[in-house]
Amino acid sequence: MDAPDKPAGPLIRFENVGLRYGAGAEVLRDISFDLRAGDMVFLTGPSGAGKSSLLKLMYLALRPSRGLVRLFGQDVSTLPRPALAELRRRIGVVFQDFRLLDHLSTFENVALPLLVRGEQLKNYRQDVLELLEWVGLGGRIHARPSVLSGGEQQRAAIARAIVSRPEVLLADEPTGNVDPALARRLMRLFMELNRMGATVVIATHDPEIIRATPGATVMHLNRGFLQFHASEDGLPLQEAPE
Amino acid sequence: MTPPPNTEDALPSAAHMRRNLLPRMHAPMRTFMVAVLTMVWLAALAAGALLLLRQAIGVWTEGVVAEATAQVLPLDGERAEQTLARARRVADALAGQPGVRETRVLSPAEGRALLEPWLGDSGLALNLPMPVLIAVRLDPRGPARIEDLRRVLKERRFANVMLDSHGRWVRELSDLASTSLLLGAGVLVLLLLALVVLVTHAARSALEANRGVIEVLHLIGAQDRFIARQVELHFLRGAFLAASAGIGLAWLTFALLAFLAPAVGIRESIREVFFGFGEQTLQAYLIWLLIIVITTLVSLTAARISATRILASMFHENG
Repeated sequence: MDAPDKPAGPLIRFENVGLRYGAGAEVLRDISFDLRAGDMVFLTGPSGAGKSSLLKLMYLALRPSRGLVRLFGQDVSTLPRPALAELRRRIGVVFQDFRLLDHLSTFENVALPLLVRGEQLKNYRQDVLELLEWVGLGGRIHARPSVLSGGEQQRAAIARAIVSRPEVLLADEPTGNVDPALARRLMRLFMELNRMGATVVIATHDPEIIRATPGATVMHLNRGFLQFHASEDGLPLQEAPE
Repeated sequence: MTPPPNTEDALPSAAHMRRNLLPRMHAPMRTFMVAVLTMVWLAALAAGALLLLRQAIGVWTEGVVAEATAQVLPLDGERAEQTLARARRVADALAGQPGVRETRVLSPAEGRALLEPWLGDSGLALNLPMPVLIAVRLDPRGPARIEDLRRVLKERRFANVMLDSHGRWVRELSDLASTSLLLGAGVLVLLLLALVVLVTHAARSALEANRGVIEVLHLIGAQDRFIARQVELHFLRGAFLAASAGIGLAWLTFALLAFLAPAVGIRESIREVFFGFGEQTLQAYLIWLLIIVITTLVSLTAARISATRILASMFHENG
């Protein structure tokens, strides 16, 4: 994680980004940061601080109301829709509510990102099966999400997010609905992905998880403003401006 | 059969996975298919009824046009037997004319029977000076002109004979037929319009219910044209199946009516129009096929427009 004034070449760059919904007040104000390859970042803040909105800007679900968002060196506001889809393929997302498709099996859900980009099943079939094995769902490949436990759904969502080996992984409260043991297991999974070179951004409320991840950077959102500090510090460096 | 659990062999094919990207049989899709089936069934019934009406009108009109009636009125002081004998001579004179297939003199009893609906069977008609009626069957392929037959009667000096071509009746029947067909066509057009509106609405609702699925596909990197194609294929399949089922149901309805309709004439008409080998049957099936095509195209277009609208609303400034 670099401050905005660090050298060019980040995977994600936000410059003075603001976001408002409709005619309401800005939920994000003057957000600026760079994320580089291999960064491990926690996004924290109270409920309603705008963590999910910031993630949505990163995975191109929302357009900013103002400011500049550059992904992989490209200004997203100037890109045509097909090019935006190509950028989304380089980002894996673990949604807070998982967003698994109920009518598909675990295998189909996890293979979905590869299917939509037109890859041949025979080329990825084995990879998907191995990944499912790795996240502990090898015995649940035919199960529909409705019969999976919360933890299993969580792992299926993570598997779907990483199946295409994305350069950036964004996870919204990935440990919010699981017990502490499973949360630790999932965090080990994210750290493993980070060690393999992926930039990982995790939105979380859980200070224990942040403290247990030394070397990570914490972006703290408060009333729409962003502050930075190290994961070992535990607390934000400063309060948001009034 | 449920696939054996946890075996790689039971994994779906890529084609199967693409076909099932949108849920096939969730409630809104079922509602859409039921709406399509019902509307297509009604439209097919209306179109079928219109064809039956057209066929019936054709038969009636042909029957009436191919007949004329001569009335031989009693002369002053003429006895009934004399009038009857004169009528036979008139019938013979007309029978020999070109364009006349045959003539038949109705007996006095038959003549009185025709008046029974108005006079009852009290015997009142026995005391009235009744004309003798002659049914003149014309050749439908080249019917004699009424004016020519009148001229023949005049030349042969048959007095007190009136020849009726049923012209007024034919004109009225023709007007009634045109009005009925127009009305039937109007009902069919209205039904087709209702079909378009209902199917469009049902397709939109079904797709709106799938917004979450489209959103996920969008966010994991599917191109808009990929999503639009899946949506189109999904609705193409659904609409075609439901519309075909609607036509099948209409066929079944007419098949049942061909045996169960109360009137023999209707049963025969249904068999001729829908289960014969003539041009009418071909026409009926072509119209039904057209209804399937229209319904499928309308569904496809509605789904495409809705999908485009849903996709356009994503990656939007205001969320």
